[in-house]
Amino acid sequence: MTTRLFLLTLLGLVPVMLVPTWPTALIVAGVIVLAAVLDFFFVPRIHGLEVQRTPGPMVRLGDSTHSTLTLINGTSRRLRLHVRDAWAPSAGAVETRSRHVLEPGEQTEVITELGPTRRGALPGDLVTVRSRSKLGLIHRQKSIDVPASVRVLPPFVSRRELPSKTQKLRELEGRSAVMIRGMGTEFDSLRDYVDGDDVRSIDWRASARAQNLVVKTWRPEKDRRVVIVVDSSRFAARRCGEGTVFDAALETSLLLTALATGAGDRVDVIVADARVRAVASSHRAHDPVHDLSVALTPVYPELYEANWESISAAVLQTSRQQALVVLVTQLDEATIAEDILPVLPTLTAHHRVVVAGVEDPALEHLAARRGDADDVYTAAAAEAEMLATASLQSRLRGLGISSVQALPEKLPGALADLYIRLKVSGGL
Amino acid sequence: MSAQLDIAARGTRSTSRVQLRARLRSAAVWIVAAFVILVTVIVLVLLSGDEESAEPLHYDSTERTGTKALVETLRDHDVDVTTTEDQEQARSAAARPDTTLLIPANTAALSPGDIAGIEYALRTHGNRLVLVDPGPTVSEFTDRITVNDNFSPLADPEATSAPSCDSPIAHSAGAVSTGEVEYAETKKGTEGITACYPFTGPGVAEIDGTEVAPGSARGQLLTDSGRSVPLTVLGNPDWVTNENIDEEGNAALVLSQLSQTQNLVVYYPTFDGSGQQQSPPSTIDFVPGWFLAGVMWLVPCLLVLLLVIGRRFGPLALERLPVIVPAVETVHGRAALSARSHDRDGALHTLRAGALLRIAKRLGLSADARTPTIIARIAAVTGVDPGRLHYVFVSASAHTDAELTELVHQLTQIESEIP
Repeated sequence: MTTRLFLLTLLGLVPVMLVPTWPTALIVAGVIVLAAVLDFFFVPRIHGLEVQRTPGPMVRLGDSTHSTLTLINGTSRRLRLHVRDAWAPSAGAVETRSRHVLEPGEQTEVITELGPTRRGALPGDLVTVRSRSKLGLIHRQKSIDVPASVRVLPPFVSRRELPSKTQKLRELEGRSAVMIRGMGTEFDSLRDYVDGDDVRSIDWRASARAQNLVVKTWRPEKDRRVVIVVDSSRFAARRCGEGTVFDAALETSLLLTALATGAGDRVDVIVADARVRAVASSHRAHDPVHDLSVALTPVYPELYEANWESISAAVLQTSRQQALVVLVTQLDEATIAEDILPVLPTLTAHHRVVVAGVEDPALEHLAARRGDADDVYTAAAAEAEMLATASLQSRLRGLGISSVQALPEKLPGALADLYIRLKVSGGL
Repeated sequence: MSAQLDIAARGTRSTSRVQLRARLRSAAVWIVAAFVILVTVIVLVLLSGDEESAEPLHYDSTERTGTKALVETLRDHDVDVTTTEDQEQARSAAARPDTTLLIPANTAALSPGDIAGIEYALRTHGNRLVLVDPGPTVSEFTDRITVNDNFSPLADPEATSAPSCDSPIAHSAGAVSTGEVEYAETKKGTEGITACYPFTGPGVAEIDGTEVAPGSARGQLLTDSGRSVPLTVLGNPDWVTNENIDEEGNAALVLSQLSQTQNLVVYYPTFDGSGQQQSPPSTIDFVPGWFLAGVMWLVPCLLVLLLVIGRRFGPLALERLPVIVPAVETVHGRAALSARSHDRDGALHTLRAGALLRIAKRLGLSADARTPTIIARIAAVTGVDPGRLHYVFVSASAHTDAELTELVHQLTQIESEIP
């Protein structure tokens, strides 16, 4: 049934109104039905049509990509097609419908513009093809499953903080390199003494050779190990500001990866809940941030409880050398006390552990509510939540574990600052 | 993107023939719909094919007021019964010899001309005419019989009536059920009129001064054999109805009355057959035919349009949504719990602690600072009375929700004064 059939029926008004009798109406109706039935047999079948989908390049969320649909006429007849290249709504396909006339053996390509609105591997839906004859009164329709998906990487909005953080790291390195000789530092160079330098760093042997005062300089050690653990359990599925906690955790790990690999460290990322969901390493990677993005793309939080024993086992397996272990999870009292604290000793024995948590902006908003009694109770409950987190942080500090808690958009920067601080103070 | 990934993510599919079973499954809706429509049409045809009338005393009616039982019983007893609603047919059938014409109802639908025509047909072979409870219209047929109206309205006749006459048919039938109307001869002592089954019982007294003279022959069954067309009036319609024909001697009386001749014609006059009831012309009669035809043609147009726009271009695209947990639900739940248990002190304590921590941070005090130290600093910075500060931050307790709200407002105000 096509619009043409409707127009033909509408055209039937003319004879029916000119000769308004029952026989006229029946004859006109009969002619239309006959034409439709004949046309149905004229419509070429779609069996021989080959459909191929080629997804375009993977993009970061916010950029647009495309998918190419290739239609090959494998039949011996000319095909008149109306094609719908359906995609999941979040893939943001702009124009999915197109019309084509294909000679036998001819092929054509349809480019479907996509503006994805969600991170992940976004699958294409069915391709629906309508075929019609030259007359075009009736069409035959068929939906074909052509598996394909576009990969949309996490947006990495915090990328813009990277230059400033790298700059800061370099400055601090240069400043502190003079004096401090600590665990994570290595010998850098010798230079002339200037007023204000620490006398303890004068290299007397070199000074004797050079006939003037020479000091040793140190710099933070390179090739340290950083292991980022991203919790993808039910806590990560919480809505937080615009997105979920998991999105903020991904941003955070991406920025830290970019910063740490830039500073010469080796970064491993483990995404885990009840099992290890994804692993990425900067070792021998050409572009660690891109590789990490690709590895993280198809992972979504699930409603499981995190299994911290298997997570700590995975961390220990990843690095035998002393490493900075960053747990991006929820600063939740019960979880930390019951699940994380028991496994912490095995981690802290070899590594330095940092816990990063995403703060819910709604909590602060609720805590500021002042109105009737209900508002006050709500504010008190929110305040209690925040106090619990604060007390947890001070308890972790007592155990020698640093922790960061910040709003989703601020957490990447805050964790980067902590990393810089640790790096510069030789804490790695 | 690596070449491997590219190949892995690309999909190719050539359409193949759909299996018969899958085709059947997708066509199942249409098959079921066709079946349902077929069954509906068959049922409708069957129902409408059985043209049963529900009119009172109609020969085809199986209702309680119908007379189908009577007609069928007569047929079983080898009486040749002709039933019709058509006057022409009734007249030609009644003109045969050895025939009785029964008009069970609607005698008011017959004009004097109609009656004359019918009587003329009957007269050729001296056939009988039988009327069932004609009421006042009996005067259209004959002026020798009339409705007996000289009874008191309070009369209460007995439920069954005895024959009380010489008619052998009535005698053999015995008592019958009593109706509501009695007939009488117009003139006392008219030749040829036999009256049976008069009303008896309390209050059935004859009143003088009415049309029917006291002492006239009266009853529910009147037979007038003095006319050119012998006439029988069955005064009680209950005698012939499906519901009451089996009571008392009704059946015996009626069946023997109607089976005296070999042929019986049952003519049921209708009011609409004569054509004098022409409905007034409606608006639609003034609309030109071509316009009506055009409007009618829009129906198939609409049908085709629905079929055209009704077919979806492929199924809806699916979206696999990630799981998202609303985080602040627990906070709202806890707030509701403490509100229900009126935990004002707990709420106040929490809000005080939070405020003091924030203030200490803002005033540059360490997180371990004690409350008196913080209060002293607040007093120094803002100039608020330390006594009031102590009251708001430490000593005051809330006994009602209003007090709690008030205290929290003061707390917020003091906090907001900290530079």
